[in-house]
Amino acid sequence: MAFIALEDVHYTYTEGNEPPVQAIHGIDLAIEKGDRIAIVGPNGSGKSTLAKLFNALLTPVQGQVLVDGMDTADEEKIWEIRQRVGMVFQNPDNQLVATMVEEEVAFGPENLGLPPKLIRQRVQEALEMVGMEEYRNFPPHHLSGGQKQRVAIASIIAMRPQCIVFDEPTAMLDPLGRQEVLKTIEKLAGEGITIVYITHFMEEVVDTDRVIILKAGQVMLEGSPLDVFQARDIVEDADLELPDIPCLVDKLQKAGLPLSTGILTKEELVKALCALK
Amino acid sequence: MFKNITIGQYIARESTVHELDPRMKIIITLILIVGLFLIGSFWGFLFMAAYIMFLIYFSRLSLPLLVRGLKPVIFIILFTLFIHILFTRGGEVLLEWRFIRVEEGGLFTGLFMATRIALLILFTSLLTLTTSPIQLTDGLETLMSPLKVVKFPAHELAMMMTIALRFIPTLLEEAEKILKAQKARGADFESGNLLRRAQNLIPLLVPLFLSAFRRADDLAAALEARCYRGGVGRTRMKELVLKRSDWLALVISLLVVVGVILI
Repeated sequence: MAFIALEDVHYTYTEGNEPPVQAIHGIDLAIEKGDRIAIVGPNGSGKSTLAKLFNALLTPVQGQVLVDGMDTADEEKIWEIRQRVGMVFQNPDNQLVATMVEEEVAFGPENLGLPPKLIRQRVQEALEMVGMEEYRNFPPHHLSGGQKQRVAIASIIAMRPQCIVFDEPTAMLDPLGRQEVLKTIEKLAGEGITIVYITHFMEEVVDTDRVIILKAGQVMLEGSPLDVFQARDIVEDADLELPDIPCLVDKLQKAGLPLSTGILTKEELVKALCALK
Repeated sequence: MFKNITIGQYIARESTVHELDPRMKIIITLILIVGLFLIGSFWGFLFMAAYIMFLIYFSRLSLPLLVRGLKPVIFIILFTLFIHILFTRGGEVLLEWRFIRVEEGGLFTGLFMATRIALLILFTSLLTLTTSPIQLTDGLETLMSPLKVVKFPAHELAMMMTIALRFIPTLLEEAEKILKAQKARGADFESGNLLRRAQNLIPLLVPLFLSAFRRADDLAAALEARCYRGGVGRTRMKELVLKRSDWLALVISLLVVVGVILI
């Protein structure tokens, strides 16, 4: 059985007297341990809602979400589910609680009720993992956006989750901060942690195993990055842009260059172009 | 405009006073304050003043720094002094000129009260200067935790203080940003009378509040995602442990207080 399984999940926001907004329209999904998947979609496509369904921050109005066999609608299981599925949010400022980096990373393990000695050890390991150990006594507001986001990641790692859901973690960062965060995620994927990466930057999905395109609360397409880049019309229909390289390859092919369609990265393109001579 | 605001005014040093347990420091400060109100003699005050000098010396902070902390309350000190000199009666008449009449009792009570307030401020600022806000919150939380029996929300209160401390710089930064944005749109924050200025602050406060609510929403989700469910079943990475020096400080302070009251 899949680590996270969604079966015909629906979610509707109802707030006061406003008409209900249906955010998720019957999604079926299976995420296996060690998977690295990306969920892309335009604003309002239900990406963030979907993310919150993975760790019981929201529970479906219809259908069910199973995490490691546990139903997210089961009140008694939600803490176990949240320990297994960690979550990093978009705004680096709004997810840090403590006045010191070290305390921040300790916050999660403290909530789990671990003994102090073990917490210390986990904090140390988590900070080393994201390369922030020399900032352990810094207040968060003295860090850059990328550093704050790395601290947020460390504070999730310290809880030892099996899966981490990233909800547009780079949307508010400068290019440098984005690089830092992407590199850290790369490292986590290498450690065997399941990664669910939500974004609207198509160039960030190149390294993933599986891409899911979401539009108006429904799955439009599910496949490898290569499949997705070839389905240009669906990508464009979902108001997304192809990353630079596949776009360039596409144009070069149209201009008559005999390039193969499997090219996704700059290095591959350079190699292919050099081979043409 | 907002950058110079410092909260808590903690000054990091490596000193005996800094290293004391925050709980003990809070208790000692309370004992000393009670002591201050029980002193009734000139020698008592002198001894107490000597004790604070001793503490300042061991905290490796400079005396002028602490004295500067008295500035905002100097008016209150002088006011108390003069009111007592002019209106408190008792003992010999020292001065009589038209309707002004100063008596011995008034002069002494005035001086005592003024010294009392000044020492009170010095003791409390010594506490905040040598204890980081986070330690202070930790200390308060553990000291207040027995009150949980009567449903007093000790953990929640400490958590609120921590979050407030964490978000003060963030919100100040944001206020600064909104201020600049509104100025660029021609908003005027500097002219007009008091009422006018208060009115002009609305375009600053509305967006600030809006974003604060949004932040609160985000933060709540982030806390829940990290399994936060209140203080029950939570452990701490940094446990407070009382050392021998903490008990020593308590004993010395108690002796001083008993001494100054008995003199």
